[in-house]
Amino acid sequence: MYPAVIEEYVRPTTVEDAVDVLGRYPGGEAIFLAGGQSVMQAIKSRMMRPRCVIDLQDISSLKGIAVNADGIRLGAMVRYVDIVRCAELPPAYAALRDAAQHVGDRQVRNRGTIGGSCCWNYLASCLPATVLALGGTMMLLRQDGHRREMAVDDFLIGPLETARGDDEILTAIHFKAATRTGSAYQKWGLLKDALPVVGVCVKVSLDGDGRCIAARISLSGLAAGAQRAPGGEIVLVGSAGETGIIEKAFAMIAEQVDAQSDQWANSAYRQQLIRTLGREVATRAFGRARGES
Amino acid sequence: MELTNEIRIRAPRERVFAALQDPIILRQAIPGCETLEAISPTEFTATVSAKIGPLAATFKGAVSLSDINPPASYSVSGEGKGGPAGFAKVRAQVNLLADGDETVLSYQVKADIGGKLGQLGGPLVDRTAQKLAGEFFQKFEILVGEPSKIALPSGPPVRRRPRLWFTGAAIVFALIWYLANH
Amino acid sequence: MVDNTRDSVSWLGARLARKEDLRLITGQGKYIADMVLPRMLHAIFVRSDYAHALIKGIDITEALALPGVVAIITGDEMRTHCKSMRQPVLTPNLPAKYPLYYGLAVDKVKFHGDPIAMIIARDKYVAEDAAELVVVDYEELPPILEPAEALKTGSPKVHEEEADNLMFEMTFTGGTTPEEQQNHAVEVEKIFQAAEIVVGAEFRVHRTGTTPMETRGVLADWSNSDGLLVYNTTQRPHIDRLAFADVLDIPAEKVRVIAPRDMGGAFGLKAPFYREGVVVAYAARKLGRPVRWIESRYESLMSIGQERGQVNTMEVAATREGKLLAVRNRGVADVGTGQIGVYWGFVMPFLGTVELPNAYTWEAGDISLKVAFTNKACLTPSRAFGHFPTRFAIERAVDMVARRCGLEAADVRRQNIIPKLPYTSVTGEYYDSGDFLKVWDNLMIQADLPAFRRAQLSARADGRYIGIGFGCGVELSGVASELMVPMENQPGYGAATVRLDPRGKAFVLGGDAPGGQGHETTISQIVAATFGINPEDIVITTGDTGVTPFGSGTIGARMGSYFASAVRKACDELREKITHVLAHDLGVRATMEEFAFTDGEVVYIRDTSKRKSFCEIVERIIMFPINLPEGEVGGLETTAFFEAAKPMICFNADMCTVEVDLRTGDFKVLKWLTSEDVGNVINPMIVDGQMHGAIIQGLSNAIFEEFIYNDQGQQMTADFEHYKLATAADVPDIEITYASTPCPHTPLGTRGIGEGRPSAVSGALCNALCDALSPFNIEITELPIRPNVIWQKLKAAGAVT
Repeated sequence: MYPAVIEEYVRPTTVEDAVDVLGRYPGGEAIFLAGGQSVMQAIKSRMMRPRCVIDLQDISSLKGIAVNADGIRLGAMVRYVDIVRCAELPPAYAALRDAAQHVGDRQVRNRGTIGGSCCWNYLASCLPATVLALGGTMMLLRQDGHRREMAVDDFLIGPLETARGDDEILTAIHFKAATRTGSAYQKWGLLKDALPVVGVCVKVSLDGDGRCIAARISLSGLAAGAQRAPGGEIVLVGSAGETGIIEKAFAMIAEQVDAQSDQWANSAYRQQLIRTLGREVATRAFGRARGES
Repeated sequence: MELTNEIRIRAPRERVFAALQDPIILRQAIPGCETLEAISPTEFTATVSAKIGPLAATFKGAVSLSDINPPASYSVSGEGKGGPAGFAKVRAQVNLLADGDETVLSYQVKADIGGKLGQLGGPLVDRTAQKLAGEFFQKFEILVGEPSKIALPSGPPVRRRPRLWFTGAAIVFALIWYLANH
Repeated sequence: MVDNTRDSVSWLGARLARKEDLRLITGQGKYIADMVLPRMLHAIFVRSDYAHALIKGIDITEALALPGVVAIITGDEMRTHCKSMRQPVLTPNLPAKYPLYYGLAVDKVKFHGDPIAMIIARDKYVAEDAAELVVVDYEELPPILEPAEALKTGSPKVHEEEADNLMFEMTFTGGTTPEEQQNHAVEVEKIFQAAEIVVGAEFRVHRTGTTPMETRGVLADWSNSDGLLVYNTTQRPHIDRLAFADVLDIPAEKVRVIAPRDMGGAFGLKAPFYREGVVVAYAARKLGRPVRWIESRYESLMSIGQERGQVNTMEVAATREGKLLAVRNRGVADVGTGQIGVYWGFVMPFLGTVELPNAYTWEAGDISLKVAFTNKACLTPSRAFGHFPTRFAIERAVDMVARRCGLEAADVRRQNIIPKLPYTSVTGEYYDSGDFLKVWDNLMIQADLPAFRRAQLSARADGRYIGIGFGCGVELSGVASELMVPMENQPGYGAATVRLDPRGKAFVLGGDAPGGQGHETTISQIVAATFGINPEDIVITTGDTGVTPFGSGTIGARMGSYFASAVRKACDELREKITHVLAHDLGVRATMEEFAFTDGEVVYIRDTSKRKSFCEIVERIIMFPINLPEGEVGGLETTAFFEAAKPMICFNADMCTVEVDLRTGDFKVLKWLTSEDVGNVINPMIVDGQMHGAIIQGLSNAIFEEFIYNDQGQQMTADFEHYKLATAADVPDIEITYASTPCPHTPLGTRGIGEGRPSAVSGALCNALCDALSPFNIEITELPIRPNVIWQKLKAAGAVT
């Protein structure tokens, strides 16, 4: 399977040059190529037929992980392998490493990017759901120079759909600094490290007594794509991460979600996975929030 | 794929029935519809283009109505071809019940998606159908009668179980469009 | 027989690094996609989106008008200008329906992916652009998808010209006439009536098969003077050559087929003779330019690689002590359209049914098979040719007997494994040699079943569920003409040309094309050992019909059995001549056995001062052939043929242990242990590799891989996201042990191995899972087996809430 005609391929060195190209190809006819791990398949199968491909590999301002008092900033072109190697990743955002470490395989992790994954927002992808639970802020730059930021909850609309305009580029994702906070992610799929049947991400913040003051839970792999599970979040708040409470939270989530049946699992099995994964993930998140390794 | 649902439209049954077969209304209500022609009172052809996220396609569909029982019910069957992307075949049964000035429209739809769309579409299929049906009914209701008193979301449904009246089981036209979204 | 005192032992049995590997891992391999000829054009197929439809019209005007498109061929043209694909050389001698078909679909499409046109363009991109512009007017027909439905009276037909959808039917036991078979069935029924133990189930195995790393490719070139040259990813170039000649009506001497030296895996998938090759060759002839087609992965998953797909309704009668008495089986195979020669889809289930009795003694069997046409891609051979489903059924049935008797499944096997060979099974399959019990006992010593049972009890007390399972398999070691001729209308002998050159180097030519199994290395070791030279001094050429002797192909583990034996025979003929001349030159009366070929020299063992370097004596015979003994002429080249007296087999046994997580049904293989009889081993590393690959394929087939057709006949698994292959992280470490018996029928005591090897895997795995979950009485009678399936069973059994 070979691509349809691509009129132009450009490889700018600044993000301004990159969005500039969009001016010549309105309406999404120019597409950004990050790691290419999803987009290349779509182009080769001709499900996407861009007139122009804008390759982001040479734009250094889109790369790099910066950790400071404010929090962490990940450039949109940060690769999975970069996240795994980032020694300064705080326990609040350890879920990013959990997820990145097990995407696809080594080749995929050397190429795929967090920005690309979030902008593609495939329903089973790990990173969008992880960023959702972690409460990231998405930074966008428009072709006319206008910059804006939005909460990831508003950015992720549904499978393959985000709030990024055709004339915008995602430049970075920002996570606020957080104390006494821990997160974790785990998925289950038939093959190791492949796109999951279901994935669960949990982030909890604790007060000085170890009680949960805020919780965010997200799921990947369901038909509606990366989604929060507010019903379960409420249950965790006020708890100290007791097993019984965690189980109750995920039993409720399993009950409430719209879990599809397909060749890999029926909805009952997906619900069971939510319960079993949720228990492990939430337990680990609480442990990390408490500073346990 | 099978979809069954029931929705309420704030317009009298006779008007709804007629509007459902009116090419002018349909052409405006169907998202991404570029052309829609009635070849006969019971046969339509349409070309629809649409996008979901980064994916776009153009579909050529042909649909025919049968078992027409105004203003109560009719059947629809048709096929949309998306060239190399594949095709979809649809069979639907539409029933209208009068409820005062309003109409309760119920439908059962069976759709078979084939070719690359069917193979790569997967779970996106149902969701897109729902979304498109939702958009169709939004526009259709505006065209046909008074706008609904319930606030319509400004965008497509977001990650929660869509409310019943908004949930799409797509009428056949909607299904032709949803294919375009892959 | 191996004569170790004369051979350079260091090469036979040496773990020599493969000669192939350096070029393969440095990008110097020569695959079909590397091959370019001047003025070459690119071809792509347009394929049906429908499982079953009439072709009302094909409009190619827009496609043909696209700049860069050279020609478009449709089915009508193939029907008019070529013969059909149903040629004697491609058709078995078995009584079946062989529905006519051509290079492209004509009038009707019969499966999702049926090729209806081929586009030839200046490059592959334009070709695909043009493919999108072809407009086909289809009139859809309801697809016929369920074999049971397809076989019912009055079912709509997949092939209109045939009487019905029953492609093939045969009873494999108890006589040749219906009356004899009926009587036999009655006798077997009596055994069942009287038996203390009867177990049975409907064993269902899904459509799964093989996906080599390299897809298919064909590069055809035509010249009016030389005729047709085809580079083809094929295991069977000599058969292909005859087929091209017959279908395209070209005199046979004007056809040459070359399998590229490097192929990225075949596994049986590259053994059939495919329509696509015919259309490509036809196009090359029509256009007078080379045409190349490289199959896309999507195409490959859609249209080939699918095998297994059987339902075996099996019953086993046994005594309370676990002695197996009789097996009764009704098999139904779904072969799709059945239109891919040589195998026509049904030869696989045919052979699988022949091999059903496995390694056990049976008093009687009542075994029959029905094969149905459906609107799906035709089955193509896959490693464990045909018997993956029957092996699954029999191995599970044996465990069911053990369970019913309250005995260890391992003990039931030991009790019933054929104690002495040769042996003829109830289906008439001949097992030539081997010591099955030795293989089994070797496995059991290492398995240490009592220790496992103690560990299992202790684990259960901790709420952990572990289990142990066994399986075994008798596999073909090559395919004798006795079986090949009726089954495939083709011979089974091995053939090899060995040519020595004046510099003391050796050239081996063989007609069977390898898919990457390391034949070059193995054969080099044999030749090196025979002549006392270095494997580096030997060049192996395979797969070119212009220069190699006729070979049926690399199928059914023919290399270690037939080809290797033919090589050895040819080498021995040359050694005979060399020693005859050398003895004459040295002035001694001596036979071949009195000379040692070692370290580059030929040495008279009775007086080691009498010796000559291999190079010198070889050069002398080829270049300076004077003063030769009476009756000898110069030159050192010969072609030898090897046919075993009877069909040969090899044998293997598997043990695995698993742990199951009740909460999710997830399971992990803790240990996989094997015991093999592979005869004498030339290169243990290559043989180990064969075993690893086979077991991994067996696991991947049993757990992950499944070809799915939906209720509209749409093939839903045409990419690796949907057709999942095991990765290295998904499979266990495998411990391979050997308990071999040299084969008495081959010159080196070797057996062909590796082809049938995957088939015992699914039984062993499922037996272990059932053993782990035995407190819950879980039975597994269907594949694929996956965590979600296990969890559903546990839920149904009330083991989990």
